[in-house]
Amino acid sequence: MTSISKQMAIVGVAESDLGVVPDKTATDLAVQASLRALADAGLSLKEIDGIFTCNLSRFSSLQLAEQLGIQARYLDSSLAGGCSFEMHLAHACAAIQAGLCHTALIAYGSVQRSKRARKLEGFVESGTSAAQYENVYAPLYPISFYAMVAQRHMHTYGTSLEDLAGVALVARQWASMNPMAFKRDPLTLDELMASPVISSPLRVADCCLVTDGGGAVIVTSMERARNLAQKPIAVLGVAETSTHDAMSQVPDLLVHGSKDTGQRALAMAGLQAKDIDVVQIYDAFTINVLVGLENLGFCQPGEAASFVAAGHTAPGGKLPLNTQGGGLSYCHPGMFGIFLLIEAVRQLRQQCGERQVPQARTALCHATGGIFSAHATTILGVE
Amino acid sequence: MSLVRPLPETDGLAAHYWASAANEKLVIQRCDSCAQYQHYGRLMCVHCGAGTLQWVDTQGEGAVLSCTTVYRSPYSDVQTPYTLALIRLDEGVTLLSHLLGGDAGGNYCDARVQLEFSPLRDGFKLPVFRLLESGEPA
Repeated sequence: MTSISKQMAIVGVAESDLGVVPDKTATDLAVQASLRALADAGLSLKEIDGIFTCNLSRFSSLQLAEQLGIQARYLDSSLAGGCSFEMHLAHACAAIQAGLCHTALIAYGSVQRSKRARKLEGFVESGTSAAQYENVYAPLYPISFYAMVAQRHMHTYGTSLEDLAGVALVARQWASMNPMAFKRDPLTLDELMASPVISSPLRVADCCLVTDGGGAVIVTSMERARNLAQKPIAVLGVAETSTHDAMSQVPDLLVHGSKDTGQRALAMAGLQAKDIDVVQIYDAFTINVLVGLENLGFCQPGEAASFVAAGHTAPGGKLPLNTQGGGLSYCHPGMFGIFLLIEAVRQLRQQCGERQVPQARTALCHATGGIFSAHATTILGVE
Repeated sequence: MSLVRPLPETDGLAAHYWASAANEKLVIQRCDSCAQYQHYGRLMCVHCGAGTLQWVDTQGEGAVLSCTTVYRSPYSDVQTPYTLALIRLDEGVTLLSHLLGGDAGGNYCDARVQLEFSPLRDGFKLPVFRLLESGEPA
């Protein structure tokens, strides 16, 4: 069996309306993003024969197919939290390689802000080990888990509250150059440090935004991609895993599934961390960027805070990270993974205007799901 | 704001765990084949895959892997601030629990703790952990 590396390409990407979209449903936003991504690719709806989406409803992919009027040949509603869309991309590449579909649409939509759907306790789901053993202790889900990772990181490496805030400052610097970003006003360290603590050590300012929004990505064979509207962006490497579901079952608070998926995705791509030009790491919380940089091999354990403080991930730095402003400042409709792919593709197409990373030829996207439970890494590149 | 915290779901092997807790015993499983421990109860050993496991009482001592103090409670019957902790028992298993005896927002990573039981409604008792010695943050 040949590797899927370099055999498939992303040919269309788009966001739906973002921010506050009170007159639309989650599925509307998935449809809107899908139609925009088709236009971006120069494809028509009838050419889509694979549908990948999740969290719209119990039968998400059926629902989206019905809304689009498509009778698809391949359906996937896999749900593993915010990294679901990186997983969808990997699954779509495999399905195309196997001849089960030719052109796949990966789509997402959420109106969590307008519906006020976000709750402190999160999703208290029946039938889980958390429901049997953990929810009775009233953890805030997911923030309390990320807070315990941050506390352990601070304890082990001497990471400070200012180090965490530094991640949010960099995100805002990038967002200030993105017209689609929800928060673009300049931010100061003092403002961040004055933000109230929710689950120590994490403050409101350490948490991603709560917005509405959707996105879509279209993937097809490289052969077909060459005849479409945009420069094909090759899928060079993919990898996914899960390490736990309930909080108590995490194997290690600082060594994550990202270490495994990063290594495997880079190996599939035939690249090393030093070969990556632009990085997108799902920043549900500020701590995610620090542990992500360390587990993915961009920094040694414990060195990410000084790496960020030195400006390496900021505009003009040697490792531009979350160049659209991330979940912290650009948008966060609840599952951010698809927006990592959208921004990486635009950077590789050189379509990012003021925030464009010069000569970006390789990108790494790393998304997480749940409470650092699921991990998926995608490496993209241009030929 | 009248949401109260959910009681544990006690189906399957969780029934024995919570019945034991009501009698002030914290139970975990030990594998007959590899002698390793696991929390929570399962039909098989996650270490070696064997299917014969015994319930054993823990010694009730361990250390804090990490902790976090919550300042916004989702539930009317859980008063803030309260501190959650991942506790690594000396048997080598980890539980999510509450940490007692410290300052709100303190760092108690690696601090030693001792098991207690805290009464809840409907006959449930919650395994919780109290800091040993001083409550000074690490």
